[in-house]
Amino acid sequence: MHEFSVKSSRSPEVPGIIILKLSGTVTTENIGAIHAEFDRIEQEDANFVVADVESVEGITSSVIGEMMGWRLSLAKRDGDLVLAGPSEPMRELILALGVNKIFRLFKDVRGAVRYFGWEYRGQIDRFDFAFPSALSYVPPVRQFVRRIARQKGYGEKDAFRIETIIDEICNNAVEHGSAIGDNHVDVQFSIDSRKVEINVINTCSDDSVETVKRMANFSENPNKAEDQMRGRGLALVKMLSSDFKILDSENGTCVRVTKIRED
Amino acid sequence: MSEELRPQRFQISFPGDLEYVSSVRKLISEVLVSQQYSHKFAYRSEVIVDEICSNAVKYGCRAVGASVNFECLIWPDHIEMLVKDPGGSSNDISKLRNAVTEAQPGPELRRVQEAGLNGGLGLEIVRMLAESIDVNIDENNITSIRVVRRREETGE
Repeated sequence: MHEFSVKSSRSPEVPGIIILKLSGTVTTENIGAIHAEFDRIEQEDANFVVADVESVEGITSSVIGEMMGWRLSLAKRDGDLVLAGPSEPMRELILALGVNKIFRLFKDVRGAVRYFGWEYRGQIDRFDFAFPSALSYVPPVRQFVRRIARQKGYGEKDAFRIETIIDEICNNAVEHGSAIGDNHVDVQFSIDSRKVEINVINTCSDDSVETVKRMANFSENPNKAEDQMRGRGLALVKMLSSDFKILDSENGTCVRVTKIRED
Repeated sequence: MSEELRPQRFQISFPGDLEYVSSVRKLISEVLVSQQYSHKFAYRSEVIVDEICSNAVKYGCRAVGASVNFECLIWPDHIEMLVKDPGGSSNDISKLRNAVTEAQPGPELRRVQEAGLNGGLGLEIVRMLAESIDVNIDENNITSIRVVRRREETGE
């Protein structure tokens, strides 16, 4: 069993974030020492704290209670306190006490630092996919995107709409992409705390570019559409999106959609 | 003239954050099932994805903005998975080399394993499930792990 220790330092990558490293067994007797460290953090005017508990071998509920108080005090200054690296027994204790509703838990310090960047500092997380131009690849990609949206705290309705948008424009990219050679679909998915941006790019013939543009116009002039059976999918995408563009890029046709977070 | 056999290439690049590994693992499993590989094969491949992507994030992404590239080449009878990260410290890289190349862990790695510290980087299970595993570190420190899994005749 290791001796208790507490030490705070600034994150080397994001100096505005404080890493509070706790080690050993943390009991009621240690609350004073942790409190003193928190006082120092407050004096430094730092509002974002990651409690690194990876080396904590045991912790009492009274300490967790105190930490809830410190978190509240940071929240009043628009800050936050999160826990990084809890062991399995500690995670179980946190779940048993129900304080996972108060503290966000992260597997490691870097994940917690990234969370602060994403939630409070406009950091964008980006995922790039490239897959063969075949419809069978679309469901795994759309489900992945939905899971990421939910994981980042987007509501069920938003996540479903984002999934629908991805599904439709990827299916179109496959359907209208060139079937010759090593053809593939590129998807860029960027998510921040306010919106998502989706770019779907496929190599295709000039005829196909025109077809996609014509289909996109269907939503604006439905009665004038030449082929009324087509284009309804893109009309739905337009309806669900905050912004929708079809761009010609050197790599092919790019459908760009922005969706503002609603819930 | 017979058409040249080419693999299907599925790629994803994701931020170097452990939070995303479980979703990537699930994604690759679903991709394999969609390409007619069995659920058992997909599940075992998931385990590999989890290990190699977790290692790439933990030891290869030192910067907050770093990302991991994962590529899966899907052939009719086997798959090849390639994970690239920006590269970790020289200590982590030498541990990785040991874990991949040593059939039996050396004294240093054994000591690490016994102490429960990053024990073998989880690559034992990967080695058990894969046909081959290779590591490559280029002049820019980009670290690549390549794992090949063959479709088995029975049950897969």
